[in-house]
Amino acid sequence: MTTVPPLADADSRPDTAGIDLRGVVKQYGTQAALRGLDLQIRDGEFFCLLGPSGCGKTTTLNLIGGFVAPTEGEIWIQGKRVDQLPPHKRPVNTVFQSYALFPHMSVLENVRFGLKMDRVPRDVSSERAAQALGLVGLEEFGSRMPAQLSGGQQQRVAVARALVKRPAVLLLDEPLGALDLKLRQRLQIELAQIHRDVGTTFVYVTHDQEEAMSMADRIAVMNGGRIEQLGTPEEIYRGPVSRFVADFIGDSNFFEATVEGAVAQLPDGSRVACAGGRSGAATLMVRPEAIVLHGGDGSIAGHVVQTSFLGSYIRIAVETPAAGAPVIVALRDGAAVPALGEGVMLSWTAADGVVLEPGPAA
Amino acid sequence: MSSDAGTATAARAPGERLPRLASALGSYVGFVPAVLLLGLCFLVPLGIVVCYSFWDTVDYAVVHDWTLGNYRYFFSVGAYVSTMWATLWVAVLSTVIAIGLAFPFAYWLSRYVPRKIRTPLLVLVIVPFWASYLLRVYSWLTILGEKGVVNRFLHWTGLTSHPLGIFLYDRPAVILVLVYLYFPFGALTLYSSIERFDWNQLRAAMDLGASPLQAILRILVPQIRPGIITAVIFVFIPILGEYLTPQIVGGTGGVMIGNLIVNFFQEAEYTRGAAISLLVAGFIVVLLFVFRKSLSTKEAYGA
Amino acid sequence: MAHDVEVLSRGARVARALLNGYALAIYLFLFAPIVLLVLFSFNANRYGTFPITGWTLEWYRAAVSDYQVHGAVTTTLKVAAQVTLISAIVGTAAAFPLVRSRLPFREGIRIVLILPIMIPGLLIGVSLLVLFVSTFHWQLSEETAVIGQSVYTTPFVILLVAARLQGFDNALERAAADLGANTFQRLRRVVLPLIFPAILAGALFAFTLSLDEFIITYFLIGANNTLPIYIYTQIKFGITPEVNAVASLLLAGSLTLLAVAFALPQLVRRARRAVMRVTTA
Repeated sequence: MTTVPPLADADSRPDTAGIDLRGVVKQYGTQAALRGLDLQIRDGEFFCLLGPSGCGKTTTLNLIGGFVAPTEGEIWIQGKRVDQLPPHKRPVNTVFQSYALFPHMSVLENVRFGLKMDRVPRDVSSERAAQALGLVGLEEFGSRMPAQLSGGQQQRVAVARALVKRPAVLLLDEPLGALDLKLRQRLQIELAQIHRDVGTTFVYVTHDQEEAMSMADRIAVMNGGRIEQLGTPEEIYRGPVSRFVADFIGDSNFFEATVEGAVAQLPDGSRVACAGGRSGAATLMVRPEAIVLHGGDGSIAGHVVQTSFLGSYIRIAVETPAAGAPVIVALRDGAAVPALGEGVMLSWTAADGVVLEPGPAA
Repeated sequence: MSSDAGTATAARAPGERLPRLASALGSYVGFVPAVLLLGLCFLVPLGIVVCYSFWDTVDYAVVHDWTLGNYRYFFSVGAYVSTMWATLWVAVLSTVIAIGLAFPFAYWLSRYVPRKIRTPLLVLVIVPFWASYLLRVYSWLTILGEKGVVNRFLHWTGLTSHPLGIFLYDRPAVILVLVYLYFPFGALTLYSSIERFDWNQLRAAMDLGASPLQAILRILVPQIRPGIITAVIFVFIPILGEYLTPQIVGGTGGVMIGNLIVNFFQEAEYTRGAAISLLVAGFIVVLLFVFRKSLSTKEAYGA
Repeated sequence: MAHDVEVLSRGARVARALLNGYALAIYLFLFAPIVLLVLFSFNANRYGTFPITGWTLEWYRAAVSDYQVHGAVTTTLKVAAQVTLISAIVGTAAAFPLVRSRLPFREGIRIVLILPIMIPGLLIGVSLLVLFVSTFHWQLSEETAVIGQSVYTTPFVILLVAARLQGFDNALERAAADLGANTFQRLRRVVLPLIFPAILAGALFAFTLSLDEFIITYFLIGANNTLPIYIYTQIKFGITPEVNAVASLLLAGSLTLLAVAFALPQLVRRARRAVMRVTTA
C-alpha cells in the first residue's frame, strides 16, 4: 500500500478551505437517501466515500457536484455556500463513471470544452489542454476520437478534462469501475500520483474497499444514508466501530461473547483476550492474519476443515465450538501448515480482539 | 429422439457442406414473388412513366415521339410553376414546424418521463398515425369549417357575429393539417435517436461550465444530427406528394403539385401528368442521394 | 439511475414544468380532432358539429342500413383480405434471402424493396394507372386496386419479418440439423413457428393499411368504392353526422386491429403455452 501519510492534526477545526457539509438531508419522495450528514473534507486531501450500493455515497457526490439539491442542510466549498448553485457555477469538476466523453469531439476538443465555456482565449486553452493531457500521459492522443481509445485511455481523458479547469475539488464517481483488475491497479497508482502533482482535493466514490484503502488519505464508510465511520485506512481497519465496517473492510471472524474487562467468554466457555471497552454481551472481531496457531493462555480449540494455498498466504478454515461459522486464519507463506482434520489451538493478542456491539452470529 | 439418428447426421457439419451453388440459388428463390410484384408493378410502371414524360400526346393518344414538350409546357404556364414553388414552400415550412414541435416533445419524453411509462406515451403518439389518413384530414373539417369548433367558439364568446372562412381553404390550414399528420413521425424518429443519448454527457458539459441551453446545442444536437436529418427527409418527402390535404382543407388557395398531377391524369393527359410526376420523383431521388449517408444505419462515431 | 435528471436551479425547474405542459398540449393537439369526430357522430344535431343538442345512435342506424355503405364495406374487406394474403406470402418469402443469403448489391436491393414506403403513394397510383389503362388497356377493378395496395403493403411485411429473422438464433437451426432435420423440416418445425408472430403481425398490419389506404385505391379501383373512397365522395358535400358515424366505425376497426397486432406476439406465446400444457398433461 502506497498511501500518503494522513494530514496531521485530526482535531483541528473544520478547514474553511475544504468542503463542509452541515446537516445535509436528501429525501427522494418518502425515501431518505441521506439522513443528516455532517462531513468536513480538508483542502488537498484524497477523500474516499466507501460503501455498498444504495448507501448514499453517490448522492453525497452529486450534492457536492450540484446535480442534486439537498432537502435540508448546507454545503460549503472553500468558505462559500454552494447548495443553491447549479453545477456550472461551482468550483468543482467531475469524472463520471461512464466518463461521459463527448463522442463527436476529438480528445483535445473534449479537454478544451470547459475552457471554451469559460471563454478562455484559444491559444491559452490549447496550451492548458495540452498540459492536462501531458499530466495523464496522453499528449500524443489529442487528435484521436474517444471511440478510438481504450477504456483506460478514455478514463484518463476524463480526468484531464475535469482537471484542466483547475477546480478546487475533483469529484470521481467510481472512475475505475468499468476496467479490469490489472488496469484498475495501475490506474490507482497513477491517480494517486496525479493527486500529489496537482494538490487538488479529490473526493472519490467507490464500493471497492481495496481501492479506497490503497489511495485515500481518509475514508468515510457509509451505510444507510449515514457515515458509519470516518478515519484513515489504518484506523478503520484496526479499529472498526461496528460489525458492518469490520465486515465491509477486509476479512474478519466474529464471535458471540460476554466481555468483562480484557477477557471475553465465548459460547463454548473458553476465555480469550480482547481489547475491552465495553462489558456484557458483545461481538468479538478478530482479523484472520491476527490469529496464531499456538496454544497458550486464552486460546480456543478446533480442527482444520480446509486449507487453501493463495499465493502470498495460506488460508485455513477451522471449525470450533466457540464460533458458529468456521474461523478463517491467514498464515504467512512459509509457516507450518497443519494437516486437514488436525486439531489446532487459536489465539491472539488482546489488542487484536476488537469488541463491537452484539449482533446476530454469522 | 433416437440416438442413432443423431450420430448419423452429426458427422456432416449441418448446413455447411451442402453444395454451395445449389444452396445459393435455393436461397434466392424467395425473391421471385417479390421481384414479380415490385418489379412488374412498381419499377416497370415507374419506367413507363419516365418514357411517357418524354412522349407526345396527339388527339388523346400517346405517340412514341421523343420530346421535351411536356416539360416545356409545364414551365411555360405561370400557375403551374408557382404551384411548384408553393408546394416546396409548404413542404419546407410544415417540415420545419413539425420537427420543431417534435424536438422538445422527444426531449421531454426521453429526459423527464420515467422509463416505465415512456413506451405507453410513445404508443399514444403513434396511435393517431395509424388511424385512417383520410379521417385525420377530415376530422379537421369539424374544427376549422364554417360551422366548425373554432367558429362556434368565436361566435359563442361574441368575438365574431358571422362565421369566418379564414380558417379553412387556404395555405395556413394546409400547413396546420400537414404538421398534424406528420408530427408523430418526427417525434418517433427524434425520440429513437435521443433515447440512446447518454445524459451524463449533458451533466458533464454543465459540470465543465456550460449552461443548460449551451449543453443541449453543443452536445446533444450535434450527436443526434443523423436522426434529425432522417426525420426531416421522411416528413418532407411525403408532403411533396400530398393530394388529399390540399384537396379537403386547401380550397383553391391551397393547391399543391399533387393536385396538379391528379388533374392531368383525370383528364387523361397522361404524358403531361407523367412529366410532373417525374419532376417530383426526380427531386425525391436527388434528396435521398444527397442524404444517403445520414440515412444509412451505421453508427456515426463507431468504435 | 432514476434520479439522474434532477435539476437544481429554479430556471431548470420552470423549464421542466413548461415542458410538461407542452407535452400535454401536444397530446391534446393529436387527439382533439379524432375525439371530436367520434363525439359528433353521437350528436343529435344534423350538422355534424357543435352545439351538442343531445345524444343519439340515429346516425349509426342510418349508416348501417345504407346500401352504399354495405357495398363499400364488402369491397373494402374483399380487397383487404386479398392484399393481406399477397403481402404476407410475398413479404415473408422475400425476407429470408434478404437476411440470410450473401447478396451482391444488398443495400441496393434493400432500398428497392423499401422504396414503395418512402415515395408518395400518389406516384405509385399514377404509374400503375398508366400501366393498366394506357399500356395494357385493362378495365380498372377491385383486382387492380389489390395489386396497387400490395405494392405498398408488402414492404412493411418484409421489414417486420426480416427484423424477426435477424434476431433469430442460428444455433437453433443448426441444432435441428444436428438432430437430423432436413431443410424443409427445419423450416416447417423450427423457423416458421418461431417467426410466426412476426408474419401474423405483418399480415394484420397489411390488413389495417389496406382498410385505410386512400390515394392508390382512388386511382385504381375504377367504379367501385372502398370505405375511404366512399367517405371522400361524401365529404365533398360537407360534414354530415352519417359520415361521422361511418368514419368512427372505420376508426374503431383499424384501432382494434392495431391493438391486436401489438398484443399478438404475447397472445400467440400464451396460446402455445396453453396448448403445450394440454398436450403434455
